[in-house]
Amino acid sequence: MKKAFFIQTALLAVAALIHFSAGTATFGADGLFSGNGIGVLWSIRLPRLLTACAAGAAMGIAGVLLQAFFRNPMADPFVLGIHSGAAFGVALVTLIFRGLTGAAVAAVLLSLGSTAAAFAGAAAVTVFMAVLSVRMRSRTALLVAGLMLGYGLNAVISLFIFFSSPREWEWFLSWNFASFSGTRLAEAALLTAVTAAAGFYAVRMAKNLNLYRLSSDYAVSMGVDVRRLRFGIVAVSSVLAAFVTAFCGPTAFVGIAAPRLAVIFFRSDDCRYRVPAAALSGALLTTAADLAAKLPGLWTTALPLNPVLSFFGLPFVFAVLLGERRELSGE
Amino acid sequence: MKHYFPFFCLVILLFPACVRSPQLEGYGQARGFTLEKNSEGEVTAARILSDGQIFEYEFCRREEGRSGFVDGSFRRFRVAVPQIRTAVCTSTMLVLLDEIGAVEAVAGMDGDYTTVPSFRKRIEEGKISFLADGMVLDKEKLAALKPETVFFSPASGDRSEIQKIIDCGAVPVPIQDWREPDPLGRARWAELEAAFFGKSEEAALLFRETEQRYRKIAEEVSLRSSRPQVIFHLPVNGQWRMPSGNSFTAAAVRDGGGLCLMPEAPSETVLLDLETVFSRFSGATVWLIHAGTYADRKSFERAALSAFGDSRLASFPPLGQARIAVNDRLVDDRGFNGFYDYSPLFPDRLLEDLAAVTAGGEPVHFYRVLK
Repeated sequence: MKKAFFIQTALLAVAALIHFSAGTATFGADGLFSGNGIGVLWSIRLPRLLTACAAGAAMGIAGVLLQAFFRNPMADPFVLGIHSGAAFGVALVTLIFRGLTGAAVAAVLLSLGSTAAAFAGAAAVTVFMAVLSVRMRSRTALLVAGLMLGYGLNAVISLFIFFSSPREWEWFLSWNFASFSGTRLAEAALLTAVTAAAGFYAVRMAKNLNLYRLSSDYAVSMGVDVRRLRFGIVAVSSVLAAFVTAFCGPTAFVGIAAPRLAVIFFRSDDCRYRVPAAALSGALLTTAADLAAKLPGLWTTALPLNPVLSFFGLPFVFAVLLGERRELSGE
Repeated sequence: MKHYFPFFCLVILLFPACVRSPQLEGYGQARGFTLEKNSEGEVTAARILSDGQIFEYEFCRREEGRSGFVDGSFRRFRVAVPQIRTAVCTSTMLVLLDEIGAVEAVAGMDGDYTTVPSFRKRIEEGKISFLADGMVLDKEKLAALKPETVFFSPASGDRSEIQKIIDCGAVPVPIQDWREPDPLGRARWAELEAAFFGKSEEAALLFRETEQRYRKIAEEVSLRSSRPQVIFHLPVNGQWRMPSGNSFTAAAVRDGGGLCLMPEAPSETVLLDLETVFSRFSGATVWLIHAGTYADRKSFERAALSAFGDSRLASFPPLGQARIAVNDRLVDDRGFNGFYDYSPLFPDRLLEDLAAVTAGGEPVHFYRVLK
């Protein structure tokens, strides 16, 4: 276990170092603390690296919580409709309100920008799902409700796109590609702080989560307040997903891939280890993917983040599927 | 089975690289089509390359035959010239038809977006049917209109629109002039389009005049001692999309006296991160904006630094120093921009504007320098 932590931390450190060092701006050691150098490092590279690490860790934690909650290795924040809620907020502001240039409400919303819109959309879905999680006893019903909500919101977004001009949906599509480079240092620090707080809370929940994974009746018999636990899981994972989507756009696959990567590395099913392990794996995954998306930009065009994340995440989804098949066939 | 999985993945990945798409020899500066003419200078056949497929057209006089498929093929067509009932779903072609006097032949368009006055008049008179819902052609509306030909601008790889047009018994004519990297190559598509209306001579004359003006301006510009660096647009979510170095837009800017440092790429645009733009383009003195309208420089700066732009631009020298030109001179009351209608057919006007902007003068056709 310690060895696995050490290896993954070392890999993350190497990836972060390359990520921080690689860029088109060149300056010598004397430029590090003055003029262009310090501007690039502090206002562009550091926020991007911090955002990549924090977003990956956040999605990893949210993935572990939701997979444990739904007892399904394919569960991630997408299934709760959080990404769709954030996308709905951004679509509403960029595709609809931007056209209503005279309206006072539009002016206020536009001044808040896409981050506020994404957060408002994601927060609305978060509250809705948290309330549902208390009211609905069946996890499957909650899963279906989240998926349906996501489909419903995506349908409305499609209608917005249908009725908007190419100029407007070009902006929305660019946001939908996701990026870790749109954050300022303060925003990156906020995302890191939220992720750290949520991670700490998740580790505290982990013991109860282990009991809950066996059976909710068993957890009750062991004195776990199941309703509170369910609310906590949905609220924490939703808040994490809302922050990540608001600052970076909808990031694909990390919520599924990071917990799987943690299992491959750490070989432990105990949530007390899986939460930090998934956070570490998520950070490694997103930092490496962002590096892969960023590096071609040194010579030609950079790549949009989401396709690269998908390429990085796909092997882990296949690993999940093939692993299940092996278990079933007894190999 | 699992032993074959990596091999299977490799084949899937390598297959596209092994398939050679067909090529055309081109026509003048244009790469996407060819024309054949008889001894009298009439166009007798055309071939168009669209997304790796070649569409062939044989032209005949209207009294000699009807438009339709040749040998039941969905890639070879006969076209009766001149066309008298057609649908045009590409905005640049409407300008050409206005110039060569073939407006009456158009019975359908995909949407109500054109800024060309003669077509606006026909739309108000109810003489044009709209055939698309959003970006997608409506098969029922197409079947009801029964055009002989449908000129359209297919998105890459989209075969469904072609199939819809064929199903409705019309001849599809894919127009992908926007794929041409050379501004004059794009304008040259006018000759192909006009051939369907028996007016290729008029279009050729129009092109020759355009070409002469373009080359004259480009020659004058080439004598300038300095070239200002040019950047485009604004970032979204920390990513900056600009025309690639080998795009139509970059070629026009270079001919217009600007210096384009955008890297070359297989696509029309490149995605650059903030750091790249800050390090490579901080010396830019001309900033071209192709999205949105801004009353003045202050409102542009506010938008650039707002939540929809990026507050880090405050330390980007061009924001305070560059000449900022917006292509909104031809935006109509409904917000549609005539730049996209007129500039492909008249690259000479585009060049005149760019030459003025890069030299510190005032553009007169499409752009407006923000004060």
